[in-house]
Amino acid sequence: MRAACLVDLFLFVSLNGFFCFQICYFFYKNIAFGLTLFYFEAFTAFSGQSVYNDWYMLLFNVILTSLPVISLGVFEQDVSSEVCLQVCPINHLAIFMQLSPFTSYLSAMIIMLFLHSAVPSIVSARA
Amino acid sequence: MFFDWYRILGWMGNGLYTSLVIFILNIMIFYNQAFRAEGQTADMAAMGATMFSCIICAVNCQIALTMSHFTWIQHLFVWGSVATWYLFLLLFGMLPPYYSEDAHKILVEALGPAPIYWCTILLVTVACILPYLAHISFQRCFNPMDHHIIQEIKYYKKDVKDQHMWRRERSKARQETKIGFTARVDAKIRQLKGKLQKKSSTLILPNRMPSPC
Repeated sequence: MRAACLVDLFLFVSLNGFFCFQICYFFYKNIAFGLTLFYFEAFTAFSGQSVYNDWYMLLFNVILTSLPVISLGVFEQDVSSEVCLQVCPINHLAIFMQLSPFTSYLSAMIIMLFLHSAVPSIVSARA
Repeated sequence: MFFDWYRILGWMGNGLYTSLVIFILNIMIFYNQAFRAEGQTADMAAMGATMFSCIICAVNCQIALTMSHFTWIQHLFVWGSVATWYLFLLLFGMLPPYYSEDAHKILVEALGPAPIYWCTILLVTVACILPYLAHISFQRCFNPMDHHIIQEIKYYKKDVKDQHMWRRERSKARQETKIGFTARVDAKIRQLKGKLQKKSSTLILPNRMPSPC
């Protein structure tokens, strides 16, 4: 019984292609949004004028583009689970077990986060 | 399998392309062209709202394009997000000008009646999703991945009619997986550690596991 649940769990996790696409899409949408803001700043000679209303920018990541990517993460599957079981689940299992370096990605991100927040504040405090 | 730097950089490049297309097309269209029927040009609030509408539409169409398995919840969220944006713009415009500032009645009076607004959204959205559409079409036609083939087989019910083909696909799944550089380095380190402790016989790499099917 428990083993069957485990197979289902692995199928669920591996079928979803993991978190990868969600991360890529997150990059994509924020680059697409943020760079237009930057272009407009450059266009107005960095006067600090914002082309969007504050509320648009606030709601962009909170409401307007967050739900589709969550639904994709939860419901998307390349092939249905029965097919995946027929075509041999063990490879997905292997991928799942080998993807442990995610923790290394995560720790690298967190270190970068501290670094990137520390550098400007230290530099501006010294200047 | 799905997590490599080409993919991430590809999506980032796609984002760069999308932002460029959205900005340049919008600036070019609204630069000195008449916006309203009486011949007035667009102001910054109208252009900002149009640009933001383009982003919302492009980004949501893009994610709809990447989905291969639709449920009604996904439809609701993807198209609901676009609808939410217009609903927000409508409600926000109804607020007194003290709160809504330059967005006061923007959808009802400025954007809605202007055909150029709707044409711009259509044009920009199509221009934004075209490269990705070309990419996935090319990939599926000329360089399909395993799950594409399985999808096609299932779609044409080949697994029932053509047993030979189906068996071949299934046997392919037993081949060794090739994924990420870091995973291979990790595996190598584990292997070396195992050798160091002279327990190499107990070391079993996950991808060498015997398959049950």
